[in-house]
Amino acid sequence: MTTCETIQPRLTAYLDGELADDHGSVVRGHLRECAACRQVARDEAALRDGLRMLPPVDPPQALWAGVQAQLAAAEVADARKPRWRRAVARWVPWARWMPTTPQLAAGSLVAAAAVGMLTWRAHRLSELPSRGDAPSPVALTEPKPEPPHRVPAAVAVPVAPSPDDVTADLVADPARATASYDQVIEELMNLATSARTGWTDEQNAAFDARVAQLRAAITRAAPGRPQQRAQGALIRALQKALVRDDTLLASGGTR
Amino acid sequence: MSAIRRGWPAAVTAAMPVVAVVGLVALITGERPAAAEPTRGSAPPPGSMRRATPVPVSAAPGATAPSSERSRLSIEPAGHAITRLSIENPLGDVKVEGYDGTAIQIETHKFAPDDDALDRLHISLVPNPDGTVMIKTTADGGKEARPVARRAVRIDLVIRAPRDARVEAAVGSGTLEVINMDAGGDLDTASGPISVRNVQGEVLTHSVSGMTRLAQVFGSVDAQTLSSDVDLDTIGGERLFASVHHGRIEGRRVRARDVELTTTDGQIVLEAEAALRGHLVVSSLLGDVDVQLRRHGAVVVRARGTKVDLGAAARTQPNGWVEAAIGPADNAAVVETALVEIRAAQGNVKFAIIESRP
Repeated sequence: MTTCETIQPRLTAYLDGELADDHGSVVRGHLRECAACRQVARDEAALRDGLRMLPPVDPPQALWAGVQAQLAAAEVADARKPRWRRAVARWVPWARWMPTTPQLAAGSLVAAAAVGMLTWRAHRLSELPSRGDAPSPVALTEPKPEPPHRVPAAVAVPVAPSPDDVTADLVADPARATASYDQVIEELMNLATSARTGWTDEQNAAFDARVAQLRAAITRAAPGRPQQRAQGALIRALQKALVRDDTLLASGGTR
Repeated sequence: MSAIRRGWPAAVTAAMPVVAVVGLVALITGERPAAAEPTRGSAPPPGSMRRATPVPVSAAPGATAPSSERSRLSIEPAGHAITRLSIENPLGDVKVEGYDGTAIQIETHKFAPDDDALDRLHISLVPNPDGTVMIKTTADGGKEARPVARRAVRIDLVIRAPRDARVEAAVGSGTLEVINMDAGGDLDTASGPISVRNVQGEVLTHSVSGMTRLAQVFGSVDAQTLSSDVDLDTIGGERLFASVHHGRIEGRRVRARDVELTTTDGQIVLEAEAALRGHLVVSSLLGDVDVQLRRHGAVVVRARGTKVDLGAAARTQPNGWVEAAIGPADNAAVVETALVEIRAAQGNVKFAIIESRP
């Protein structure tokens, strides 16, 4: 029996296409019947889409240096691991998270302290006088936890991929294409500068108005392909103005 | 064999049949121990999809020899027919081939320098209730990931799709090929070549520097590249617009009512058939223009260029245009006259008529 409580934690994985066939089918089946979960899924999808539209954030140089230092330390620690642990980690992905010996020792100490504390508390509770209608000593005597002093959660700063890595190259793709379109626009504008000396004032005004209109469209367009489409439109208009100036200007720049 | 087994501890002997069965299953399915996660390789979509087994071709664990993995998927339409295919593969080639079925069959081929890098390559696949199937490839970058150069990894997709699905695809430097489709497409590459063959419906192509080749396209075409050639062969539709900044446009067997070919710096060579009342505009700022026209009715040609050869009795107008009227000049013919305008602002213009056979 699937319930909203069991489905909603899986929605993110479902929207990311990360659920296996049978699990995906269960979620999909539930979404068909449950309007509340559908709404949650829609909100989640909208949020993801919104996040994708955000411009990439360049972390400060100091942060990146820190990340690199931590990575280097992790690699050193990895190299110091015994051979058998590296071999196990290669075949069992979660094994790479196995604690080191000092970590195990520290963990044991913490666990021992926790057990000691619980034992002591239980002993104290058993010593307290019981009340007739008390459902349980723990429920009676356990003070309500104070609302924790809220520490602002650390802002998740996306870690910049290594500049040599495929991910960094992929992130740079749209900007590269946009820059290529920009370069062509600049070349055509330079060509237009020399061509328009022979145009009348009216023709120059029509040209400027058309270019301004198309540049505004570029500014409005979303980054990436929509912006490149708008740049393509300006390139075409500039080509026509240069090559077929009379046709373009006679029609107000629309053809 | 039995003599050897006798020498082993009882626990090992007892475990042998289990190990043998697991090993056999792994051998048949081709699953690697590390690829046991259901989402590994090709992510299963929330749709009625059959996931075929990935077939890894990898080196021994720990070795740094190149790895690759093939897998096949099939997505059956759930409720609605699949009407749109949206593909984004910045990591390799995409080939989409139409067929007379209803399912989408996807073959993926991943390449990487080693198994760890191979595991970073992902293909997500999301069928939407509106009939759209979205396929996207990515390379993830965990903090543990060792840098891998883009040229060292690759994902190629070969997709068989229902003919009547529209294709919207974008690749980076890989090849983008679409064949045998009936609902056109919107295709985008950075430096990869675009090839479209035997496609009906409106086709839009955009490329920064990828050679664009369109053949047997029966629908309106709009092709734009910044610095590469455009090759057109057997194009028949209402409109054909193509523009190139640095590069050449070559067209053969072009028959569209409204044709506009433009280059800033590149030759244009066109062999076209003039449609009745058609309008053909071929222009280049710095390149030469060579047009051969097959005509069925009257044609009026006007051209400007450094040197203009219209191949017929032509008059030079006071405004610099060279004009020629070819074919019958009665009233009926004037109504159906095709107009040809050729501009080569700083190049030569050459025009010739190919008379149709009676």
